[in-house]
Amino acid sequence: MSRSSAADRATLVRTYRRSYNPALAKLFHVARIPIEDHGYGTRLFDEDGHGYLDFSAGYGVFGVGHLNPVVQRAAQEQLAIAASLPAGVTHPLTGELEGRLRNVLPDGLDHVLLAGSGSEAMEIALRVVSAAAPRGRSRLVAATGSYHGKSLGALAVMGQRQLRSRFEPLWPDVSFVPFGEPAAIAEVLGTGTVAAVVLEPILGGGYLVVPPAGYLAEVARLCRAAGVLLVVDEVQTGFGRTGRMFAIDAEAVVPDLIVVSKGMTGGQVPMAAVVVHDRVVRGMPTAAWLGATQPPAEISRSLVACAAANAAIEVIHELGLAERAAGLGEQLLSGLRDAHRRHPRWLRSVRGRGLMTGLELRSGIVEYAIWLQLLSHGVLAGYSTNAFARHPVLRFFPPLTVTDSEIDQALSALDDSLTALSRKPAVLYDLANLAMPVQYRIPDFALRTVSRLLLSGDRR
Amino acid sequence: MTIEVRPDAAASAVVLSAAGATVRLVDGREFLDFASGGFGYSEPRVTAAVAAQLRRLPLSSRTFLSRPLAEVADALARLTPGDLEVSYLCNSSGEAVDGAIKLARGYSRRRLELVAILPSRAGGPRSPLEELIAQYPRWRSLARLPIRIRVVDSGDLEALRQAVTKRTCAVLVEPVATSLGISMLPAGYLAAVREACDRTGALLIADETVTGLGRTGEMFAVDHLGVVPDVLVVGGGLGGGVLPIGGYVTTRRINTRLYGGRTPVLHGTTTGGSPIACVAALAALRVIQDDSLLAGARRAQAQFRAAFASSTAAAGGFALGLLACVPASAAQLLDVQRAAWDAGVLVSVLSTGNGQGWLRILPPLLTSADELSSGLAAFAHALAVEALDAGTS
Repeated sequence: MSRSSAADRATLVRTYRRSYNPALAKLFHVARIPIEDHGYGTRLFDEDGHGYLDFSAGYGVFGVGHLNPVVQRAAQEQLAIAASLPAGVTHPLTGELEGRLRNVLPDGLDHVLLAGSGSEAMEIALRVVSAAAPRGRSRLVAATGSYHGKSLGALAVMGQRQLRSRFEPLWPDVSFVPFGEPAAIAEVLGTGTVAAVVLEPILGGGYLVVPPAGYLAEVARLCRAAGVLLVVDEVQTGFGRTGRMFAIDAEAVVPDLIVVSKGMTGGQVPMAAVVVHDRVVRGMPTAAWLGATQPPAEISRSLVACAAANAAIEVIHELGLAERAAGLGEQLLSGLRDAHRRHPRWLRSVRGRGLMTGLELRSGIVEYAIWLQLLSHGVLAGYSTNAFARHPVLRFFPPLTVTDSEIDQALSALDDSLTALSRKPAVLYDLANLAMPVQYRIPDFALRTVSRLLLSGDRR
Repeated sequence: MTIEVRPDAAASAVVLSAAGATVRLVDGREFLDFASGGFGYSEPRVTAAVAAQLRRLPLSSRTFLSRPLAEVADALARLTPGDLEVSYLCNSSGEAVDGAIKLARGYSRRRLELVAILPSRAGGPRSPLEELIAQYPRWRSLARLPIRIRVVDSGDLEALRQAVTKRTCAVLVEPVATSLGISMLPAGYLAAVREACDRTGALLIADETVTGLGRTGEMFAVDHLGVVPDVLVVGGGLGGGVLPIGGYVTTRRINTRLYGGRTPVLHGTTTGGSPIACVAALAALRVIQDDSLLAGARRAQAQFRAAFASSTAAAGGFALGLLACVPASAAQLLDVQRAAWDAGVLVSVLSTGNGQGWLRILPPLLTSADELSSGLAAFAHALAVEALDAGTS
């Protein structure tokens, strides 16, 4: 039964344009984006009843799939009892969540601070770093191309310059270094001004870069030797996505602070946390610690969120989703490599580890075209929306509960999509790609024309 | 430092369930939560909406259109005054204020000053930034910006005139101050701020995360004052008592100047404006309207004022809608709070380093007339008893 129509989509696009995000409205209008309706397991359904294999996982939040029944039951039960708490009153559910986080993380990471989002958790982490840093050390080191959140504190360590530059000046003492090169970090540490290094184990955001083996361990060693704090951002890599519970586990790294989110949302509530190592807390005055961390984030009052997060972590652990991601990741990566071999014209490289995978593409317009083709073949891939990358990475991040048969289906859809693209000459795409940097400034009809020219195959 | 205190017994109480303003503990005791503000607990229409959305799609794919998100954006555009019509939705009041400041900084990139209006200083030698963050922790992202923060005491017109210049990106103000007790801005002051912003091109950011959504008896506190800000920040009760939600509403002109024609992801958070949060917000807004909660807040104001008028211990008490406070000496504060707690009402206590203190009564929007009467009576009694004790000790 068709609940919505082009008219419904037009109405929502109009509202988005008038009252929410005009640039997004433009994109959604030109690409004739559907209206999301419900999800189940690996599938997302639009209001027309079309189902899609969800290989974007909401940019990582659907780690345990859509509507995981254990998370759902926990959330619904708590909602029926008491959804939230008075301010300043605690509840066993918050303590339980803190305990679960301590249990899945390496020893010593004991001080849990809940947050309502990855950005908020990063803000808390940066406040702790500032409070803990010795006098004269205020510099932060981050990687070019990194992504740690868009709030004003986190934005200062945003390696993707085009997302940051409009709002500068930000925190003034930030050094950006190439990702994957320990020597570059060592050089900055040598100045004696650094308070902390902030790093993702695998560069996420609009890119997907797996560093050389041993990189994170080497950085951790450099930081310890220099008396500098290491903040590891596992918002994307955490909770099993890369084939280990946390990416730090692969190299036995124990950071001073770790930021997590996404997976622990259970796909049903906002939730994040920064967990601080005991050595950091013991090394700073109590007043400084309290100043940086109080008052608690508003999310700690939401019992529904805590209940869901507790269930999510339990599911990830009980179902062995990290190990599952490692095994299925082999299958997915192998399939992506096959696609790369068959379609070198469009695909430049295969990236990833576990079920955190992606395809580096010929250009931005090619990403757009493949994404739309995949959609028409029933697969929702992780669009990077990175208008600045010369070679954006289209992400394939399925829920960790994905089946091998679903992966095969997605790979088959990918092959069909790339074959469809190949019906038109590459030069056509290269010409159309000239519109990408200005796509949000040129009229809709022009974008629609380009879009129609490029896309073959059936479109709704 | 302004500190928010709870009686020890409250901090260790274990909540079983809650409805309206009433919280039930596992040991069978009940208390009225007049300390948290917000929407209130377990409103069935909100619960039903959230339960239904939980069964469909609680978090968004973010790459498809979201009907609940569009509906909230629409609702906020209609509810906010003047040309305020473009919303940003996120996960907390702090995130919302941060987003508003980011908007102001991006809008006027070369302006490296921000003016914050505070009710007064809490005392002690503190930098403007320290003072500001002590009073408004949710404004603390300012600490990570290399911009000059100028603090102006509310009511000081001369300081306002000197502080707001063409170097000012924004003026940040609570239309009714809640950081030290509860206090109105002096008559005409917000209009003076508006005029200073118009004259210099600074953006007027009104923080209504506490005062918004009917709490003061009007939908927004600025409605009392007849001033339309450039950015109106919302939070507090918008989550309907289920999840924290925050956001801001600005004009199309301001939003387009910064975010128009650019990548749609220049600002954002993965879970901001999620379907579950949006349906909670829509349900909460509907309840506010259908149950005439604005009128309820005005009735509450009358009840507060009557109670304060008839009690010598409550001399200096102030009430506006569902926001009330009574000044008290630091010595009395905790005693009254504990006595009120023993009588089944949790009230908020704020004190500064220099002996100033306030008992704040912040009932949720859902507070019924009966809950308010009994809670107020218990509070007034606690106040009177402690005053008597203080008088005789």
